[in-house]
Amino acid sequence: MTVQVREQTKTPLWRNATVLKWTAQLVVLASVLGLFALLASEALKNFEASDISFGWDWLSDPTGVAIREGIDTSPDSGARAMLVGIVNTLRVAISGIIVATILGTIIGVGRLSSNWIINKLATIYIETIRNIPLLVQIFFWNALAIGLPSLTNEDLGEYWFKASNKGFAMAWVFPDGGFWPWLTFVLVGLAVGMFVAKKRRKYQEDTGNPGHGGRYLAGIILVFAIIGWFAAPLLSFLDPVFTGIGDLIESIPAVVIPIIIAVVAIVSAGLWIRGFFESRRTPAGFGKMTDDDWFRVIFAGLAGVVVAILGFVIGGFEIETVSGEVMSIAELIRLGISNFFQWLGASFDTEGYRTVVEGVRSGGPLVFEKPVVELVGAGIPQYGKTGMVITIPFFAIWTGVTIYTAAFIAEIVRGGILAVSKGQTEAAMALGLRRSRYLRFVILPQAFRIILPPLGNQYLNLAKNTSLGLAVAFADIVAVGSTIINQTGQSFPVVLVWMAFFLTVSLTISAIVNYYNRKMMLVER
Amino acid sequence: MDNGQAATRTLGDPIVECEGVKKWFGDFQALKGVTATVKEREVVVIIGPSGSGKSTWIRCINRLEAHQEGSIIVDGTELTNDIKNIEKIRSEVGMVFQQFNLFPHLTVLDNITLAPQWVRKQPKDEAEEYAMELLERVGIPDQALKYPGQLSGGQQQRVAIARSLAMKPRIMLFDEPTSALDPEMIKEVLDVMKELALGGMTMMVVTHEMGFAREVADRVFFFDYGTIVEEGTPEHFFTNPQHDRTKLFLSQIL
Repeated sequence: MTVQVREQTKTPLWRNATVLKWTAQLVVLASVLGLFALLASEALKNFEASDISFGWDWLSDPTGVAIREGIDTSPDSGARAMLVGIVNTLRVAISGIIVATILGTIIGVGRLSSNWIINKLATIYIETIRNIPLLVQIFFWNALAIGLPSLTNEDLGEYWFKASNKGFAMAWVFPDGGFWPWLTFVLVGLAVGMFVAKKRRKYQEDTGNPGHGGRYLAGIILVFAIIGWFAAPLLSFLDPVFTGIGDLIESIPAVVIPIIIAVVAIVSAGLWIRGFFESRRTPAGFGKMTDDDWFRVIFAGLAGVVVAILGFVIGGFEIETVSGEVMSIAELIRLGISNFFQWLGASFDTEGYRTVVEGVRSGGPLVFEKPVVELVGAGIPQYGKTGMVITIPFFAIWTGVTIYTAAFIAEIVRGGILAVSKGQTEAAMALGLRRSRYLRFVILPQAFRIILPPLGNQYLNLAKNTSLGLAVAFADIVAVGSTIINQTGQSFPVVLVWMAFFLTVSLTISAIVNYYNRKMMLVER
Repeated sequence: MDNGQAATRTLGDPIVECEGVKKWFGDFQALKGVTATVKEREVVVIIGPSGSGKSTWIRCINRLEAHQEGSIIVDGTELTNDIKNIEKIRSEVGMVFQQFNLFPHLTVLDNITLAPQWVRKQPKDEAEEYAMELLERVGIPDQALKYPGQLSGGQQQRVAIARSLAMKPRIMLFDEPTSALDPEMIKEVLDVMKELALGGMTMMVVTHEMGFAREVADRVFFFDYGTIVEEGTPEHFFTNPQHDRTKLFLSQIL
């Protein structure tokens, strides 16, 4: 007896959806990589043909760049100069983001206020600021500050606050020699305080009595801060510990660095893949993987291997440092880590704690300073080294981006609060919750979910807009880079550094915002 | 008409007393002098065409809307601008909304325990224990740790009822509690409300469910153009309405 087996018709390759999908993925990947390779080789060829050198020597070459403000006003190398610019940019971006968020929230809530005057003021602020180009506003703040009177011989003396066309000088508190040991005490206090506050919250939940968690937290931190102020030198035993770690790191062979990078890359790729498989596992058993899922797994594995290999390749690159030494990148990284521990050790050094720094600052964790106006060089009145001096360019760019971004944040906050339905407020009120309670537990948590993604956009905009500082000669990474381009002609590498920097900053902000966004997502069916 | 269920309840003293309540929205007068009294353990059903002011009236009783003339006294406390009185009344008057208005970012359990914890200052475990008891009563104890978005409409409305009951209210207001529900879910919500009425809860219910009105109500109020046009027992109301407008309305919906 013969059984007639019905032959299954085989799908031809060009109609097989799975094959087509994989082919498409690979073709896209290959063409993107190919396009980049082509562009890069063409660019290199053109650079050579037009005699423009392309290199990274400017990073370690001594430079004549003088920077008007920052952590180092006469950096010894291009890399150091760029670092000063980066720190300046980050100062504007981070403090701008914080202040713009606070200001924007206040104005956004103000625009919803039933108080007519507050409401109208908020509206006028928003409509004026967001309808004028940011660059014009930066010029406006710059012009406004430059119009201030200049410093004369009559201004010599000490001040709490002094405004002039040299900038704004104000009394300020600075970290001093004993700052790090003291900060250690404060951080320990913070940890203890948070632990106690958590216990108090639980007590409040369990018994219904007020727990005063916030007061406990503040009190404990204060106690630790006061004890730490006097007891900070006790931590000087950490000096030899950290210095020892630094010496130890310097003595390990340089090849360990790329090995660690490779291990971390491959292990984290492995962990990611394992986590991914776990996420596809259902109680019923292992879920079916789609083609996209396999693509992700393979891509993650490949990425891990590529990073591991790059670690060895780049780690082997040798460059000449400012002092003329030739070191491999791996050795440089080792030196950097070792130096960090040496620095940490020195921070806890009792000698450092007692030594008066630069003849200006006293010992102690913090120092309070008032600015002075004094005669510098050929008898020109200038701000002295003490106190906080905000230069005109910093003021212009900071005020510009902060005020501008705050207007947009205000609209986002207003929209977020309005988007929480009126029914939520009514339901909470009907339960007898008073305004402060329902805002805290019902309205704001929901508004925050709506506000977060567009808020992240505004943070990105603010960070990127700091590059407009170039227009008022603020020494940010773009301005410093421009100077280096003018001096060395290395425009392409400098632009690459700019792009890498802004990309890093933006991706970091994105990652933080996305993390919170995922955490806050509403659970639905 | 069997009105046996309502008859088993003995009505107590007046608990909601309204006297000439008037309310305007801009130049539109929504309430044109509503005078009515609701007694303890009484179930009052309020019907009427849309825009007649019935929802506005019960929203005045817990001050979600402020009335502009007349007086409303709830459980001996007069509703005025005094925030303290308003808070006291709101914590004694529960309300269930057409759109459920559960808090979507909190679990079912947290939805129910939020107000007892922060208004009544109940310890968390006590509040949770009572919340579970209430969820048992409305028939969905197994959903306690889910979020509102994961429940069906009928289940959400039952959670909303449990949330109001958690405050141990003396009066429950229902503002069209079944109007946003699919037909097959209306019954499960009405059953919970019937049970509540049998348990002796004072209830004021705005609804279009005439079956519920007939079966459970002690009195039916017919609202039109911002006033109570006619009131009476369900029997009187559905078999022998007096007013022309009542007759017209009933002929349209029955």
